[in-house]
Amino acid sequence: MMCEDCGIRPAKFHLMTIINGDRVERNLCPTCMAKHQKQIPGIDFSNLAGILNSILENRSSRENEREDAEYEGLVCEQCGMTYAEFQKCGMLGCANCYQAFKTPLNALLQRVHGNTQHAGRVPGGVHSGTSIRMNIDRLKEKLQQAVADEEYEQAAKLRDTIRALSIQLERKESDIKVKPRDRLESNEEEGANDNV
Amino acid sequence: MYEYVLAPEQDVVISSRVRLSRNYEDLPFSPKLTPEYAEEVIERTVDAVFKTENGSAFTLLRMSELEEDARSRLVEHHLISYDLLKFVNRSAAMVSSAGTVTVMLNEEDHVRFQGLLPGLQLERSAEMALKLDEALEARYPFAFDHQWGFLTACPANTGTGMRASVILHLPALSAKGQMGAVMQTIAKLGLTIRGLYGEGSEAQGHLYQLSNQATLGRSEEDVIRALSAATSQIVEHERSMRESAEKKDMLQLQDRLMRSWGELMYARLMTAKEFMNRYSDIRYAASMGYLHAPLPGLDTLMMDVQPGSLGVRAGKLISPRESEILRAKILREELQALVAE
Repeated sequence: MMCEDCGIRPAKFHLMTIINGDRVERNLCPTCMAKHQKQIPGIDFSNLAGILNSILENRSSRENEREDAEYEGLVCEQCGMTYAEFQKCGMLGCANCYQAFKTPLNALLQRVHGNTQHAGRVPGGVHSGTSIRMNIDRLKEKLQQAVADEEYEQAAKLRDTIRALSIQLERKESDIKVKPRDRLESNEEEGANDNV
Repeated sequence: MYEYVLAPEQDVVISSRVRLSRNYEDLPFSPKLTPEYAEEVIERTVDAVFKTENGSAFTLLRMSELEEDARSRLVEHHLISYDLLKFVNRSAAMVSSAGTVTVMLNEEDHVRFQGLLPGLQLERSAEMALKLDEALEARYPFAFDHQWGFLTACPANTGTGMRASVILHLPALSAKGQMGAVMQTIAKLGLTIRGLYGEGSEAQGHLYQLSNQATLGRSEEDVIRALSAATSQIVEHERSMRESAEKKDMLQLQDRLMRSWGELMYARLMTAKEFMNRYSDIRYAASMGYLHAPLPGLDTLMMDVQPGSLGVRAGKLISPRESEILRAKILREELQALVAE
């Protein structure tokens, strides 16, 4: 589960606040938690959050730091952005940055999305059924390669993704069969609903 | 006789929106975008959009050429994002005449397509945005990678580049203190919910925005389906809470809600914050049939009396007190007209 504030770091805290009698709960990462706590007058939780943070993230944070230091020097040849710069502003400089920072980005994307393989439409594929099928084909090739290289853990992951995509594709195809009538009906109300 | 069409689930769902983020593959992204490149983004997109089937329905608005109130008005009507105003010097928006489709330019990404419809209509909103996306990519290719999908400036959007969201009106769930439980369930589904107006965790007018979180690893259809399903469940939950409140003591519920109508009818000064609470009450009352006012009309009026929109209406810079006076006046007149028809 990701932090509901930044969406970038994993949520580690469950914050409950009561404002004007309304109870509001949010799942936050340590950094955003600290920010929120500072806004509550009278109690300074920022230290506590920091302490808890270091306990919770003790091992992983040390590893992360070491990894981050390793990647900080990476530079994108096309736009000149460094990985350190990216870490500061949170945005990449061009399409090529994704290649230049491939290794650390892969880990980051896994943390943010819980996945590193696109499963949606691809350019030129007007119907996403096509895009799913293309994805399956490509993944099958990868799977064969992984088996050949005896990377079984990777192969198992790929197999699961292929399975999930196949189910999606089946569902998609059964959807299409009922679609034309739905579309006709919804088009009739179009004009009336466009005013908000 | 005032005729209007209710959109699906409009008693609880105010609107559905789908945004797609795209970047031209050969131009630098936001942090490295020079004014020249930003202009290139606008030229390309305007050219491509005008050449689409309904291209003539779009108007180009450069943020630098708009007054502050006019910009706020666009945000308040959900036609552009608040973030577009972080880049006023370079950003622009193309807005369709019906207000249902917007193309944002030079926000965090080069292009963001948006489909916006009343009620729960995520699929159709997505279709509108995807149709434009397809028409444009045929002319100028977007940055795309087979593993990571559509590449965005912030890696949190890469993949489909799609954020789908619904705005929910949840007065009964809020009154019963159930929002905490709803939020917890939502988080487990990979969705997020937050207050629409107001600072921090306060949800003014009991309006909440529910949206998808991850954009990588799930297809557009899958995300839309999951969000629609979650929305339908919340809708059912909210409806049953409204019913049980009515069953418990209908007269008391009516009394509480209709007092807000009374205040709106006679108040001479109305702050934005107070209005949101009164609006929530009369929208609730209208959905229960206590008040014969059309929901789409109430929702449009709600956006029209937000600070920026009021300023546009006044046609000049107005003081906070003047805006409270103007808000109260518009509400008296237009609510009266809404129920009379």
